Amino acid sequence: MFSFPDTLSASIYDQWKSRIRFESAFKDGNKKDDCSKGTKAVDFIVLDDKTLWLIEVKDYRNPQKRKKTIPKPSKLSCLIACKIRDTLSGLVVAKMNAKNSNEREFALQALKKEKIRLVLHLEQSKQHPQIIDPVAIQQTLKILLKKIDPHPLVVDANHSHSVKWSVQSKCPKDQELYENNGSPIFTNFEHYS
Amino acid sequence: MHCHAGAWERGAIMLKQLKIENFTVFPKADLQFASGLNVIVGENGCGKSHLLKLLYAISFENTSQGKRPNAQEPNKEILERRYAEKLRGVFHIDDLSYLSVKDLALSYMPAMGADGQVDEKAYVEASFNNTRSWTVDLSYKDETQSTCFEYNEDEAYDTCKSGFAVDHSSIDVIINTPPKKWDNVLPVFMSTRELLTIYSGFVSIYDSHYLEFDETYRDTCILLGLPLLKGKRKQQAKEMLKPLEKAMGGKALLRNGRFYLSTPDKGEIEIAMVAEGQRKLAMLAQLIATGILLDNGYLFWDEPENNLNPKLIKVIAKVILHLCDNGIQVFIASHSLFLLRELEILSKHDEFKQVESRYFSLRLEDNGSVEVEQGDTLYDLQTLVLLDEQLLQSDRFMELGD
Repeated sequence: MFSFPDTLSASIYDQWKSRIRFESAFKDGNKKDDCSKGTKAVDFIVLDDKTLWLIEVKDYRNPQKRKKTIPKPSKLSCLIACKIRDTLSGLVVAKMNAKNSNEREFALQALKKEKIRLVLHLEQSKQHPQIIDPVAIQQTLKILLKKIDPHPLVVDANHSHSVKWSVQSKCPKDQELYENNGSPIFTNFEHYS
Repeated sequence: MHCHAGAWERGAIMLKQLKIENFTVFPKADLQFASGLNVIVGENGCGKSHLLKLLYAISFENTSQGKRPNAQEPNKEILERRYAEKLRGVFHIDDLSYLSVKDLALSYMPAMGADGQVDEKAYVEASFNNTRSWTVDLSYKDETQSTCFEYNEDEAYDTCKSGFAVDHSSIDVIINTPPKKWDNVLPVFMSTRELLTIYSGFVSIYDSHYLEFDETYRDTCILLGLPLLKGKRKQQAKEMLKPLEKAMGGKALLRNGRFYLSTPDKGEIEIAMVAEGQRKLAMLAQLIATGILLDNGYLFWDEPENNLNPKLIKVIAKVILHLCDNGIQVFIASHSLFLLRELEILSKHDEFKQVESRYFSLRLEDNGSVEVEQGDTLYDLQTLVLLDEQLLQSDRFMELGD
């Protein structure tokens, strides 16, 4: 469960309608070319005064789930790089074309920021907390994404470094690290047209 | 490449650039070095040690003849003979044709000459800076000292084909441009293993028998036996020796041709009785104490991490950066992510911020050749097998389940 202070605006970008439309524009199950595989997206976007934070969450605590849906550690950085790339292009499209005014305004504010920071929340099982070396992930992210953020962060609930939000572990067994559960997609962001 | 003024401005001669063609596993490469730390990474068999040995052989021969009494100015004839001998010795080969790409049975086409003939020469060009006011202008040849040599293999190749022994005394190296003056410091080569245990009598035996050791062992043993520093430079060395001596629990001591670790509590311990990691530190300490690794020169170190636990790797990472900061140009080949990270952490510290670094990743291509990626930081490299393997191991671990 993520908690954001009042000074931050946050949104579950993954659930934006314009994001889903953006993805579908590039998705065609009948075709197998690169343009038809859809787009990817980070989980959260957070805004503070000057910074656009793109946040991805990966939860490797549940062994059953991680086998099915979570990428292998060796593929993780590349996947995140694609998510960052697609989210940034998705934000540009949302700023221009989103029908939902909150999404459009959030995208507008996001693209006004002065810098981009990338954060991976990586949760691992208590039995094997270091199966994935977070520094190795951070280093591979840095190689791939240094032109966007030369200092990407890899954090977890107990080691959140300099991020301004907090994470509480809800249920390590079979739930995602975050759940929407009907909570608003936008936090501390008030734009109502 | 960003070149900070420090080490260059001290007037030390340093390696700036190495261009190679058809050399061992490298079809073509152009490496630009930092004045401080140069790190080479890559899988086994990618040619890391080849690069270290080649650079060592060049810098050695650019110095050794000039140190002789009544030394002549560098000239083509002397250097051609000396390079050929040194390359054979350092690579421990009888036939210089092993240094050319074709002998590795690569599947790609060798370089074609202008006449359409296959060019089977290995080509090497090493550039040094040699002016006090060196500026970042690699094309300004008047301010560079250049060593170019081609390995001419026609003769050796014909000999091989017809089954004759290669004439060891033949000159197989052709110098195009000899350096303008001799370098003044002998480079140091540290191989993957320590030499203190084999030191006793090694040089005499090496010179009188055939041993399966390359010539770097002999050269480094000679340096280990140099007299210790005195006076002001001794004080300077003392500071650098402190962390090493703390980690070793004593001081390296050479007495009657044998090495000991002199400890405050157990007295003198024969070096063979000291743990391998500590012997390695003792070897480094001895080279610092003699002044050969102090404030000017080159260190080529193959896998410094070998036989060291993380605690000791941390110590040598700091010593390496101290050496760079003092003006030694350091070249290391490494497989250790721990060492690379330690160097990165330390390089952010104020005391080492001015140390210029350069990273090289050797990438094995499908056809067996090797391409070189390079950059001022580790993150300028696209191929980091060390990291990839670390994460692939995570994949395998994860498949085990909890």
